[in-house]
Amino acid sequence: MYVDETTATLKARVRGTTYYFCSETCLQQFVAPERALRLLKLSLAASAALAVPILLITYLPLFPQRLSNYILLVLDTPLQFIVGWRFYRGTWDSIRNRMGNMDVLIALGTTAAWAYSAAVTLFPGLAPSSGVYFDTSAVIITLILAGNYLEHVTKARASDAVRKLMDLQPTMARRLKDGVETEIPVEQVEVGDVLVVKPGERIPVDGVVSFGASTVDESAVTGESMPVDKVAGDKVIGATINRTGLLQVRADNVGQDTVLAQIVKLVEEAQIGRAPIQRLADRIATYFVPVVVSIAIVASLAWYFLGHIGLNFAVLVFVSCVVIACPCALGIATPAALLVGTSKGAQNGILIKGGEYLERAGKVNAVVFDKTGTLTTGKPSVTDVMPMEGYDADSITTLAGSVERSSEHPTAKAIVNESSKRGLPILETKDSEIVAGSGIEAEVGGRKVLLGNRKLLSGSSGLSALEEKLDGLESQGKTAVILSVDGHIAGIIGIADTLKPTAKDAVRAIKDLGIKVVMLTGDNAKVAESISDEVGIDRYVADVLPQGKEEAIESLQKEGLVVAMVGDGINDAPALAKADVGIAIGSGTDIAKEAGGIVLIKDDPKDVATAIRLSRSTLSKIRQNLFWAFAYNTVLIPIAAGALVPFFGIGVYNTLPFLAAAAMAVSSVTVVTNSLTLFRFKAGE
Amino acid sequence: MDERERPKESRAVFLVREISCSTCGLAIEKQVKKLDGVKDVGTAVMLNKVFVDFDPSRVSLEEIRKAVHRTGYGAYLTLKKR
Repeated sequence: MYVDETTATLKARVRGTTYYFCSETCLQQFVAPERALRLLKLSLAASAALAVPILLITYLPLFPQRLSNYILLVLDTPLQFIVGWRFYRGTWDSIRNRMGNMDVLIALGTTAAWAYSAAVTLFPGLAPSSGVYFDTSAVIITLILAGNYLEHVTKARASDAVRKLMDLQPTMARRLKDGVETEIPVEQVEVGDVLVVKPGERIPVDGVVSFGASTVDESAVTGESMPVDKVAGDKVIGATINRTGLLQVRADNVGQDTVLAQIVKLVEEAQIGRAPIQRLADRIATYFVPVVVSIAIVASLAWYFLGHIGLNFAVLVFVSCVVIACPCALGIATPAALLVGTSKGAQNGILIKGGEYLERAGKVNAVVFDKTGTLTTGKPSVTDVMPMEGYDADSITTLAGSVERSSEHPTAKAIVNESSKRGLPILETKDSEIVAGSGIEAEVGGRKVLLGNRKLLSGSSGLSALEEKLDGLESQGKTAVILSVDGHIAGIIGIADTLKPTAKDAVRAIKDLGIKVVMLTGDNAKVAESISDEVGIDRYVADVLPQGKEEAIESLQKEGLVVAMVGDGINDAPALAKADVGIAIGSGTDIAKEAGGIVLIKDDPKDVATAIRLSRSTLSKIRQNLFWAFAYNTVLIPIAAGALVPFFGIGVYNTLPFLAAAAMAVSSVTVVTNSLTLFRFKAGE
Repeated sequence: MDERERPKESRAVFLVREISCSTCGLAIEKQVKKLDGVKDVGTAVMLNKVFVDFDPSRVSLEEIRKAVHRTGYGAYLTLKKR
């Protein structure tokens, strides 16, 4: 958002930079987290400043016991209630929301220690010993605040990747209007505006090059490391860097519609959904606080009445139990790894739309490619024209081109292109009719013309003599289109779709992960086999009609396979939805509309393997996090409840509350830090 | 998540105070879902954001903001879109 700083009245200074704001809400939104962090740092400092003298007075014989207790009461009370106010407020929220949280546990634990100590100080005859535990409350609060601060820092590092994406968006654009260039804030750019982009600058919004030529570095947005050549008519993506030449770009996506804005939105929204793997942890977290408080009460009462320990130790048992346990690590185990995993994906042009897709992608054991547009470029061209006797290449191309003129099929387009490349005329056609999955028939100049595959032409004379030629074409992976005029075969046109340069590597990379690769194609078995052999695919389903793709996927699923379907995100939407996880490839600029749980921005099938590897790594990181969070709680709660007493005596409770607080403080930090290691994931392996 | 399935819906995004654990997120979801006209509530714990899908003809943005705020986590509207 651009705001003129000379007129702005709302401003905030953060770390030496002054920020200006458009509205009170914007300002609040910006400063609220900063203010919360500042308050946290201040609380931590105050807490530590009070805890140090409290510890010195507790453990060094500086004053007589009674005086010492009073001094400690004076020092610890503000720490407990002013610095520690946030825990009481959190407890109040928790009661109103009827949902336990860690504030309840800390407030209970520290209040118990403080209250016991205060009572002993004020009424010395109350307990057998005159020892107080103000230091326990002080150290717990300090450690928890330190833990919160560390958690804040690590969480900020985890969400940095998303913020960095947003920061790629340039703030200004140079608009060209009536021959005059003016600098305007990017928010004011409208669709259709022509923008001037100098070498070294970021392109402000998505658009089409209207003038000039250059190379553009798209790596920050698409993950494509090679700079891409751009000339007039080519699409450019906002926030990518213009490298070499001056470009004029006509804006066609602005604001929330740009590729970058859509990527940021997808990554953010991917964090919402609850991955199935997290549900158990969430359910446990819901009951965690009441259960832990019950354990703490039972353990301390049991030790007091059955174990015959002093009241002071009974209090410490309670404090240790409530403070050691933390549902936070459980709750953050999945979100932390998910955020790092999905951000890492976005950096490499792989958008995973949510935890559930990531989880399924990590379990995939079969990848289905819809051949056209994923393994091949999807732009077939005519390779062979074979006229029969009485015709020549131009005459059959003329007929074929005329018949296919208005068809949208890629094969038809290849023929029409060939016809116009040869500069051939287009003849008038009548009664044109498409025969689904076979071809087309029409009347041209009083002659009945059929154009299509064997099935359509089965009634024409001379077909059997062609088998050798047809086989020849098909064994090269070419589609043979046969033309007949008035029931006699007139010629064959061979059409081939070129394989993408990385198709072979892509298939190998997937197979290396132990995953089956299956190709779906509308071609017949011979063509399918030849292409499969060339790219190294061992299984194909040929003669698939567009509506048959879902069926093909269903039958693979019936074999017990977890299927990922790779296809075009718009035309293959039903098939992508049918698969366990749909992967839309090479989407261009309309990412948000794409079907499928995973969207690959680049037009590169190699990213399929990368997406699966990333999902697997993230999933295993989630499992590690959950394991540690569970293990931590299941091991430490019994210890807090007294499992160590038989070995070390009741004296362990003199230090256990401190260890408990330290463990609670670091538990979430460990989980987030463990997740951060996912940033080391390498895409190109 | 199909756009066609919910034609008359808006989504509001709120920034909240540090949600330090998912139970806090669950608490917000539970409270805001009680509002009539709120279809779905999601929290992104790591981003401190709350996403609310609602029917603008039945519940106002301000009512939602207040409901989020009442949970004790603050609420700053960052974005509203159809």
